[in-house]
Amino acid sequence: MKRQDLTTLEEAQLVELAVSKNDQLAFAELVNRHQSNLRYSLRQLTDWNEALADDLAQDTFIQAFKELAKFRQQAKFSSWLYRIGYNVFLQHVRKKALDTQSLDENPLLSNQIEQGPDHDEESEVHQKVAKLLATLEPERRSVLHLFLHRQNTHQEISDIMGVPLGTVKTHINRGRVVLQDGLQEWRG
Amino acid sequence: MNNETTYKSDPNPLDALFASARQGQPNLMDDSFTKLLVNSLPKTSLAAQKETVKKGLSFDLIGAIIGLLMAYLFIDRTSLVSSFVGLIPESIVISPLLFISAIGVIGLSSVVAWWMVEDNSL
Repeated sequence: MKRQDLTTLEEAQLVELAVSKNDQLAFAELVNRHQSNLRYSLRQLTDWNEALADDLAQDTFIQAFKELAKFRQQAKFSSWLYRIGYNVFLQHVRKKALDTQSLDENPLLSNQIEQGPDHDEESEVHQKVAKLLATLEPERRSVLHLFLHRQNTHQEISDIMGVPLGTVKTHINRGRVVLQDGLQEWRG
Repeated sequence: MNNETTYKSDPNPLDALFASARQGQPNLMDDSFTKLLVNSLPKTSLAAQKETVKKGLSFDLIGAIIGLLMAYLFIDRTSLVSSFVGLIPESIVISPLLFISAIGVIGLSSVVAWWMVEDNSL
């Protein structure tokens, strides 16, 4: 099947093609549809480290391709993909011990937020959100990203991340307080 | 700064900041990302790999069953068992020093293994 034809297919059909016929073009179409959102989310989770986020996105898609047969069609493909992405991110954090210090513990980070990077205004907002999120520990960071940016419900976040509903609520309540404080410091 | 103005005027600055980021989320369309990814995909998916493994396993299983059948028919099991029993020593003598050394080695290995796991070296 030609790539142009694939763009008209439903996600379920693309998954079926990729699984039953090992059609890499069908999988490439799925990648095209989801790569932007996934890469953006991973940038938000990795303190806007573009190269690292893209590496993690590559690992996520490769793992998704290997595990595609396990994908249940009743779930949203994007949620399933994000779950893999979150686990890939978490594995990376465990290996590399990503910096998760709070603003109080790391005045340098606070200064970075105040100053902001030297980029245009639009990308500055994304990077500042990423810097704010970086003050949270990885699980809480992911919850807050899914809640505040992706606007997922508590239950959806619980399903995606495989954590109890109560834990999701706690992360949101406590995370919001930390982010509010960080934002206040940033705005002076 | 436009974005800052937007969330400064909002009653909840945090929600407004995220809303601003959400609305301005860039479309990271990049053909090279997809091309690079497709090139690094394994040639077969897990399902296809499992199928190959299943075929290999069935051959191994047939071989193992034939081997066991031949062993059952041609090997004298009584003498095999008695020769194994003969290998077991009747008594073992451990001196106190040897016992303490063995405990020490096992303890030290456990501590090293625990430390390596905690340190993510494994």
